[in-house]
Amino acid sequence: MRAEAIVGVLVAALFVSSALMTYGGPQGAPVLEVDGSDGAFHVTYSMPSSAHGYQATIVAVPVVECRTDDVYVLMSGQGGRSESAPANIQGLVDHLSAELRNIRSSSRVVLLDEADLGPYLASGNGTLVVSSSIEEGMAGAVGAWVREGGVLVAIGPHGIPFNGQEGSLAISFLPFVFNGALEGTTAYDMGLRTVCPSYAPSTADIVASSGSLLGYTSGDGASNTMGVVPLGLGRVLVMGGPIEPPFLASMEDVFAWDLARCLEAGVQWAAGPVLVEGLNVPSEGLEGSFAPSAPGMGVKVSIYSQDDAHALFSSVLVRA
Amino acid sequence: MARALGSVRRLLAPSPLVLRALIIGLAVRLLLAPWTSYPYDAYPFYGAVVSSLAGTGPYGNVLFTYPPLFSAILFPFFWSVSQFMDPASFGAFVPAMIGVSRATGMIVPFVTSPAFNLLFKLPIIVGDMLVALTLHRAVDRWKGREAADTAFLVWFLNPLVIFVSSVHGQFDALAAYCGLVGTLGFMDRRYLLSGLSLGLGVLLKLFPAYIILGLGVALLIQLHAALREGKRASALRPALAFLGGGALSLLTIAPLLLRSRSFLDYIMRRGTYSSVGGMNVWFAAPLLSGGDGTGGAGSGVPFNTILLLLGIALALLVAYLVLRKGCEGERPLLLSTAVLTVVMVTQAVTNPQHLLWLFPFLVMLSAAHPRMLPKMYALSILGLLYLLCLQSGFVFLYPLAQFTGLVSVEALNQGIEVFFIGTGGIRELVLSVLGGAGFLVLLTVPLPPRLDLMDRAITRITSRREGDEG
Repeated sequence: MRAEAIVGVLVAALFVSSALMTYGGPQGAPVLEVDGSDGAFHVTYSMPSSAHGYQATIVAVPVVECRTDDVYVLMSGQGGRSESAPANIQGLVDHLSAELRNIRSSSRVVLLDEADLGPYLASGNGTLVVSSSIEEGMAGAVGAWVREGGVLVAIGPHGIPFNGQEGSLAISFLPFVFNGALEGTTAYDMGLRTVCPSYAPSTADIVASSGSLLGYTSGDGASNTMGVVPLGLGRVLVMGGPIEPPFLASMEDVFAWDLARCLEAGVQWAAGPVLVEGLNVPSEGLEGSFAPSAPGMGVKVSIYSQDDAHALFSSVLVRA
Repeated sequence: MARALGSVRRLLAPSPLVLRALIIGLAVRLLLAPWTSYPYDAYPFYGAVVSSLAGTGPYGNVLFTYPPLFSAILFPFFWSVSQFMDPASFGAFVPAMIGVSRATGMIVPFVTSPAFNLLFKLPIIVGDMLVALTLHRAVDRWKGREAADTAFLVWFLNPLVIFVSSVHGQFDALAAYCGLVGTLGFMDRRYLLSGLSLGLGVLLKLFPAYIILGLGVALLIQLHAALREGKRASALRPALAFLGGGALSLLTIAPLLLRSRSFLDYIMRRGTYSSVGGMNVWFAAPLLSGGDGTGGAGSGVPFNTILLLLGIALALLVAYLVLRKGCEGERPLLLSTAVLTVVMVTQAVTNPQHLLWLFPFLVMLSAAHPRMLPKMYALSILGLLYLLCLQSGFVFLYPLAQFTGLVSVEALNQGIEVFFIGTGGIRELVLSVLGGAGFLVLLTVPLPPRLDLMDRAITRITSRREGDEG
């Protein structure tokens, strides 16, 4: 019976470990308070204490309109060289669902079959992720849907189905030249993790489309890993791609991390320069204030941890 | 106190030879563990640890797709260490590895630190030790001290076992331990222990489920026999104890099950293979995949579910064939060995670390059937070569490069690229040959001696050599 008793003790110990691992989240929650109107705001924030210091970010996005939707991820394409393979699209759904859950978002992630794209577009506004080619006949419908207020998250060269069509967006994708220089950029302060896609949207094309650059600039300066472009009443959040190995550079894990935080922070609705401040939170926690200015607009302020051992996020929207 | 110390001494050092081997084996493992890792596999373990520390559970970042028990084993260690060591120092993102990672598709540009490597490999090394000591104890009872010492040495100083646990950092030895204890417990009619141990094994890696299927057949045969003899009162007791043990093992993950069952989906969908290859019937996959650099991975074979069902059917068939003449003596041992072998040669992917599932059973059987030892030696060599030929041995040295600078990360990148791309189709050919050789050796394991061509060849060579010497 001695072996049974030893294994019994082991089972009890593992039960306790599982319980602590599942319910023993040691962290407090960030607190954000925003006062102000007429474009002048005063933000006070506090980040909880931890056994060790950690990196965090506070982001203020000037907005005229801001909406948070469930995220529909389109499953399409054959997984050609510059488009995301079905396995990676499924991976994005898994990772994005998990990341949104981690930061306590109420948004759901839904995998949308290409056959259901028409009914989805007809059902009204929303957020749609496209990372591979779709049937040509649907491209115009996607463009019209964005103009009417939809948010298109376009990943990689096949992410904008109506790209280059007459009277529409024309954003070329270039091979991304990675030189390892990450620090000192807005994207680094935001903690963006998609650092090296194979292809990235042209910097010049994003600027020419009245868009904002948010990601990492390539070594040759010609492309950027992320940008936001207004189109009619809607937005196109254009990202480098496709979703492909390796992890931590261009795989679903990093796209999901970036998208969860950017979409919840309202980056897709940016109507002016996004203000970003990196924070070094000491182990005893951090309190501070922040004064973004967005004349005539509202502001969405978000604060979140950047490291892997915390999953802290808080966001508040103040309308104009 | 003295009595307790005596018990520990008897357990850890049943003989001077074992004590020496234990010290040498542990020293080698502890020396290798911090400075080596397989980045592609270490990253999910890192993911499970940090997401558990973040309060989102081991599946919080969907990187860890193994069954949950190993993360529960790791958590207390890492939670304790994280009180005085910043989890941010558990690993480093290495941008210089992105190029080689993309070229091979089998590397993650993230290198776990020596402290992390040592900590996550410690339970695996303990698993190695537990298997060795259990083998010694069981063989000692069965065949005597000399055979027991040999069994200990053959497992604990086996280079593939050392490599998988201390260099690669895969925890197959822990699941193998559960499989071994489950089978030995069954032989001793300790059904609760057997069910509990096998249940824990399934919660580590899924393969002990096949042993459960086999032993389940044995229980049904016993039940049928007991009912025919009119022993109704005691007929159900073994099966109930076995099932009760299995159910008890679920307690270890009850908190996870109660919170969310989405991880079951991750394990079954993301944690299973969508490719074929390795030391099984699909050994030629690297060659047939046309040298696309994936080693047979990513071909998206649609018949994975069919293979799973085939594995279950074969496990039941093999169990019936082994047990049709009775369930006594070494039969459960033969049963577990045969079931695992048949599943290994037919499953989608059989990696070298999977050989560790089988090794404890081969060592046990070798005491009565010496022909099993050469098979284990051959599989060890083939498995080790396979691991080294997958991406060259350089891939295991990134912690040494990143955290000591004894070699440069760039030099390792270059070595891997030359090996991976520069060798053309030779790499794929070598992998297929090694996989095919492993497959053939595995095929001979469940065969009766008269059909065992490997044994006959070895006997012929040995007798010829003895004849020459005579």
